[in-house]
Amino acid sequence: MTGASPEAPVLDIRDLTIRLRGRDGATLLQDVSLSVAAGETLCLVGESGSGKSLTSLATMGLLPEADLEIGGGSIRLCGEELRGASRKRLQALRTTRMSMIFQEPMTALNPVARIGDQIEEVLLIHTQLGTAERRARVLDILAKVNLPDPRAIMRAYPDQLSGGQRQRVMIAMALVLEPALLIADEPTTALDVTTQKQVLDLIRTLQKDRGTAILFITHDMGVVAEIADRVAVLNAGAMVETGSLQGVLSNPTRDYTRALLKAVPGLEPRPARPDTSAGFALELDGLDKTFGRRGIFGRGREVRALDDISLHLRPGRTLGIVGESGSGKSTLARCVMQLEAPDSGVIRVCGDHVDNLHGASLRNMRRRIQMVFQDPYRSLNPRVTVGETIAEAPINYGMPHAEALALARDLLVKVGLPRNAADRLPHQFSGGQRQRIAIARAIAVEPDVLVADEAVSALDVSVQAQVLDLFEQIQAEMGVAILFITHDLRVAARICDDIAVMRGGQLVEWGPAAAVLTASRQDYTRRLLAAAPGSHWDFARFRPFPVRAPDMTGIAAPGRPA
Amino acid sequence: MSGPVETALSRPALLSVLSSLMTGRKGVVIGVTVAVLFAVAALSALAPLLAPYDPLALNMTARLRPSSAEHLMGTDAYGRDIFSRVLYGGRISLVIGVGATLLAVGTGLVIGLVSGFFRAADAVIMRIMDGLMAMPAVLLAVAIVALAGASVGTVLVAITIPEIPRVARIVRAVILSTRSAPFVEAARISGTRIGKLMWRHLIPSTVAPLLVQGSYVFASAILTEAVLSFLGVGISPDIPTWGNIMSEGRMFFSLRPGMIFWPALILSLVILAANMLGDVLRDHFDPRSKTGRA
Repeated sequence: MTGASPEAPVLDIRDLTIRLRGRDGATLLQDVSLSVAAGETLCLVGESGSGKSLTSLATMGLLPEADLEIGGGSIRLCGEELRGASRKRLQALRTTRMSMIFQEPMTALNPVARIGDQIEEVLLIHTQLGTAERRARVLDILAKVNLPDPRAIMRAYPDQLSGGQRQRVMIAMALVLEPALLIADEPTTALDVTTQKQVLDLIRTLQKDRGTAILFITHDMGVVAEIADRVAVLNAGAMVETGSLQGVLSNPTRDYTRALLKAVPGLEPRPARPDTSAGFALELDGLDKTFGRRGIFGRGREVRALDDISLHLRPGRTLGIVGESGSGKSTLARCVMQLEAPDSGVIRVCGDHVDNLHGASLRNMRRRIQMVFQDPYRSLNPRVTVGETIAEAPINYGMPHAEALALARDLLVKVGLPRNAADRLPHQFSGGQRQRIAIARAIAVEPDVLVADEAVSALDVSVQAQVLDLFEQIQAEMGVAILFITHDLRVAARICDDIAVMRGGQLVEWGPAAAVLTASRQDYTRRLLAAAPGSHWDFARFRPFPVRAPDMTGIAAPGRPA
Repeated sequence: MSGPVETALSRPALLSVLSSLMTGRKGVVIGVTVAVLFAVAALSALAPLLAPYDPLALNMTARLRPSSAEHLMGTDAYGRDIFSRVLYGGRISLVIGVGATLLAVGTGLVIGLVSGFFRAADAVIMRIMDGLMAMPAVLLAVAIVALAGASVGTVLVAITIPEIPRVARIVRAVILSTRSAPFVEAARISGTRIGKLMWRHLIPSTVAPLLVQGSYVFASAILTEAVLSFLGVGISPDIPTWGNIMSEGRMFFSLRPGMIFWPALILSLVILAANMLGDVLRDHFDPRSKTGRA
């Protein structure tokens, strides 16, 4: 432990203000105060642009000084003022007294240096230890972060590790000098839920052993409920509310916090809609897809992305495909869209075969299935106006240009945007607005099936709720069937009538949402549910769930296939 | 600096890119280089009006004169006025430079599009391009001129062909990375036919790199033409070109260095200007080379 007395907070930020440089520099952070005590975890919560990352960068002395300046306030670490500290002093404090882990461990690690050497470098710079001692410390810390076979990991390069392992390495590197403060900036956002749970558990255990103060930055209320002692809510650069975890979650005092919590979808399944239609909008029968990779010397490595997948979906209903990365759910979407050709199996839309089509028949099929992509920043051509983007498909199918543009304007109103949005370019819109435009484009040709591939994953939680509402509204009006692909069980519970769980290209389970989410008989599904952060808490009602229904005692150890 | 490349080249945005290029240190470089190129182009275009003598008129009474008020750059071994010949020579150089740039960029764009879009064609086309790139440009041009005979047309083609592979590779790389972009897949899902897909969604992202490469092709073509003429395998020696003038000046270099000095000076200025313009454009369009930003 470092020199601070137990009463004094490890990190104490007072009235911190950050401005853009320049004469009329906008204020990005206004009078933010917070403190973190030893052994305590403060979760800094907020949506994108709220200033939570600015706060952490200012603390680490990593603000891009060419553009930003600290306009006022103080940052004290173990009693020492950091504002105005020299570069050299900040350099010495980083990793010894404060350190940071980031969202994407691949970009934070040097791809051409061995893991062991990278951690050793920290010791080489900041300590006087001899070679053997350094090695021992590296082995020790790698073992402490629960990495299997630390000796092998030391010799490995970052790309040879999984995402979860890389994040453990980052944690090891951050904690090897036992800093008093750890800043974690969305450290689990890029990880699958089961891995996320392990990493959160690890951070908590290490904190208990060492009494580290943790400033944990996240947008995910579920993660907050798992790890926070206290919560600070930021909005648009200002502190909204701060208090104990229990206090903020169960008795939020400010409207913004209440709205933020209400937007978090619960894990309770929605009531399924009546199953009225006789036919199927979409039928998948025995889909197989294998990606083969031939090595230089003919050693092929094959990935079975889809293994005998059979599903069907009725008009006006939503089928959720959930699974972790690599489960094949996106391949499934791409096969349905004919962006990939399945190796075998049949895809039917309203009874008609749509696989193995070419030329004109493929074009005719395409108007019957449309797709909304994950990243609204890359799914719209930056050089084409919104109106032309939406009108493109109707024009392709023979609608006169003027008529298609008029339709585009009507569709924009339908998705909650002004008519004149048609004349603007995509970069003039926010992520949520762009996703509305993408939905307008998808419904312009009145498809029978709408495929949404992680369509709300890139959005802030309040925007996410609005876009999910829009999907439901469109579905109610048009009777379109939606295939909704997501890694987020909360989102699936919020919008899906039926849920199919995938793992390693195989269908683990498929059934009504209520059955899958509350009474699954599959170990894997139950593990996914258990790993969903904050699953004990009903955010929208500011209270814990009365009784957590599934019995967790029978759950198999992670790693064993269900 | 202005926004990222991806928003840069829509038709309404083109003007704002141009205006953002005109500011700061870049603006100075662009102003000077464009001024040099325009000056040379104007002098060459107006050669019939500006040239004091007929560039082909022999005058055996005024051979190998040094610079004077009468003959600004002196005369050559046949008494022809070098200043007039340099002015007329600029026409050939600029026609070759502009022509080779348009031909190379046009052909390279088509080849790159086909190669980047159709995987089956890619393997064959790119091996041919590799083969072309393996041969030195001048050697290849000499061979083509030797086969087809020297004329402005064949020299133009001979200079263009070695430039095509680089253009094609650049276009292919852009197409390969753009065609799997979600907005392109979205257009495919919308039933967009291949022609419209390329014109509307793929070709616009090649404009910036082609602008840059085009300026290099321009400089390189002018230089190659001069080299071919100097070696005596280019445009026939009775037509004044910068290379031809220098070639004839070779024998009298110790006596009248101006015969090589003047065309070489202007040639160097043009190539330097074109290359600097290319560098500024590249810096502007390549976000990685922006200074002070991560």
